[in-house]
Amino acid sequence: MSAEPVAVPLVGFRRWGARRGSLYSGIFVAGRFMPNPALRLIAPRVRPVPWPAHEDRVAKCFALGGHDAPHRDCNCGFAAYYELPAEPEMPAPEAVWGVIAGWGHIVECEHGFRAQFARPLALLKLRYPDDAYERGRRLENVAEAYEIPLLERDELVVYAGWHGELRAA
Amino acid sequence: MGDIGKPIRETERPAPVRPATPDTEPVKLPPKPQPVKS
Repeated sequence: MSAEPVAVPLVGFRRWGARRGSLYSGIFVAGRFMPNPALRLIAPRVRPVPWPAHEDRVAKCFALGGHDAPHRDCNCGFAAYYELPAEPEMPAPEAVWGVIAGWGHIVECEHGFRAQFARPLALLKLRYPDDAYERGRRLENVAEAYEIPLLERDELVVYAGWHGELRAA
Repeated sequence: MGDIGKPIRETERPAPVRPATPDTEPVKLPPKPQPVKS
């Protein structure tokens, strides 16, 4: 399948884990955040790298054999949903939702996309009920570090649409 | 991230435009000319 040129970036919604003012890709297991589990499988001693605050991030694939990311037949690339879930899941205090712009090569799927390049644009003002560790400052700390706004749900969706194509599923 | 479904198409898209930030000192206006005394 050849890539079709489109004139605008694609925007979408995703969840990260936030630690010490940085955003990490990863998974949540039993109320705990595990950053970059694929990287830990192949290089256990390598420390997870956060999303850079002031530069664009390029996707890499950690699959054996390797290929440029994103690949149609893999799960690599920076993933995001076209729509913000009605009730975004907050499985742990580190959970943070926001919107990204994706560009370069993009694999567009039924409910979301995987992009070659991505940049966080804004964060959703949605707090975990009990975040004793950062005393409710976790979202503000990340927003300040990345110099991006912290927005209510409706504002976030409108803001996303200003930065690229916002697709409904 | 959860399931985003099966691939539908592949696209090539440009980067979003970053907000302009000044990277140099603001331009200073030249001094106002003084009236010449005769």
